[in-house]
Amino acid sequence: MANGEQLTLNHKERLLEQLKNADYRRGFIEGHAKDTIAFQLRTLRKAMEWEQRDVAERLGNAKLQPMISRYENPDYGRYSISTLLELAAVFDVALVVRFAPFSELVGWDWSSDAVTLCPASFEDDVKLAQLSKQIEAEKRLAAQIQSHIRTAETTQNQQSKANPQTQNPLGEMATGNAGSAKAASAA
Amino acid sequence: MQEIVGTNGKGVITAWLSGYDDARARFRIRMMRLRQSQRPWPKTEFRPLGKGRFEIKWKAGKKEFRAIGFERGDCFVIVIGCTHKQNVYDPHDCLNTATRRKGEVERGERRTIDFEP
Repeated sequence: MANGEQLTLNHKERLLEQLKNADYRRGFIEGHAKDTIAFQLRTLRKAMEWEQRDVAERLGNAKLQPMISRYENPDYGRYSISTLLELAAVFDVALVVRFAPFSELVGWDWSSDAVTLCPASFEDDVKLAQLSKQIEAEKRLAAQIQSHIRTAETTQNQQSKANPQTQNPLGEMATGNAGSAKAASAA
Repeated sequence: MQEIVGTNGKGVITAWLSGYDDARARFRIRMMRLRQSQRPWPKTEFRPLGKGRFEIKWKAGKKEFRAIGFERGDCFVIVIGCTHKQNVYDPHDCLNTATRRKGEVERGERRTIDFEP
């Protein structure tokens, strides 16, 4: 698996087999939690061309630089959620901490690439803008459908008023059903 | 990434890591993240040992692990795996072994195969 190279089917199959082992699963979760946070912090900081001290200052205290250094060490792993939330605010990115089924983690592992290490900030989040456009498009479609329904209802009402006997199939069906019901009742 | 083949025809690192399931999983993810990040990699994870040898460092449980090897083009060839505690390698002569095996690979006396933890 070279950089940027897709995982082969053999590798994927092997991972699923290895995950049957509880110790392997534990290492897999730990690795994803600890390594991902550490590598993301380092990559995000470098993308901003900041030193660890700059991040510490943005957290409100330059003396926190050693803590940033520890947080960028993938073998450290003793993160506090409140500090991670503060760091998420510094980089203006989201933070997701939750329990999940293994299938989700495996899917994330397989789709993970260099971009995963440097998530877009709120301002640069192109997908967020796409979601906004998608909602606008869906709203326009819903309005068009409503308009068509209203037009159809108006036309139907006008036709019903013009000729209530022949132009109302629902009415005929109702009459027919009523007739059948009477017949069944009589029998 | 590649590993050297032992006398039994099997990958030396694969055999060594088969006794450490959690370490194998941690190593897999460490390698994935290193590949995805820009070089040079931090010395906390990828340390030069001199004579063209490098070690990939990672921790699993309370144990510190090392995969020692060398770079051949775009490929990292692992020649020995060991643990590390208070500046002492186990096996203690692993650095010399790494130098010897590196030479064997470079002279074509040792076969290497693809390695995926």
